[in-house]
Amino acid sequence: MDIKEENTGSKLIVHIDGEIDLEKTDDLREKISVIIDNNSSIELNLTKVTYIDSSGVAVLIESNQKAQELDKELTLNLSEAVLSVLKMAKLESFFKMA
Amino acid sequence: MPSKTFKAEKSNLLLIREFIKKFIIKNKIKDDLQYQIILAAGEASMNIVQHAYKGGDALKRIKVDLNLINKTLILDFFDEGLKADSSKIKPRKLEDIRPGGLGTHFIKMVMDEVQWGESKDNWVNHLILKKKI
Repeated sequence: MDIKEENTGSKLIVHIDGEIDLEKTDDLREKISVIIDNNSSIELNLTKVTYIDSSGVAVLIESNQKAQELDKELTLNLSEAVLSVLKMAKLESFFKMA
Repeated sequence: MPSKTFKAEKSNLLLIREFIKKFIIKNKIKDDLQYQIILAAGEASMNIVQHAYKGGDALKRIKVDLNLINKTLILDFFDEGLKADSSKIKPRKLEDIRPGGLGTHFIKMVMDEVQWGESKDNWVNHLILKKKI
């Protein structure tokens, strides 16, 4: 899993690629949390994520909840792999899509 | 019957998935099922590391056996961690949106049968996942 940040001026795009599993989620959770603290508008670009498990979905839920609590905008841009997992969990409408 | 034993570490979850992926591709399982089966198997492996081994134990093992019998894919997971209490392993309600509790839901949604088998050869837990293909 690789994480890169791109500041467009109006929002911060966080590009994440590779496989998101239990080995990666502690690091991912921490990085996204700091990004939410320091930015008002964030897009998580997950279009190059090829695998996500329930621990990764948990990070997305936590991040969304934190953004809502802090009145920040968090949007997701999804790969087919991530979308299919969110649909299995009936979570596709829980998140705001980019 | 492919069989492989892995150290019970988070870093090996990817290797377990790759081992299973190689088998299902070799056996020409339909593309739309491949990702779902890998997800279910990944969740089962993760549960072992997370719960049976409390986050992982490099001195302990996970064994994975793969079989395809009469068009049924059978995945056997063995571990030597804490004994699983199957009565306490339940998915959360999907409408109760919160982190956690989805892994068991994914496994049950994808697989046709999820059962606990007999422990043998000093393994503590034996999880069996079956899927007709």
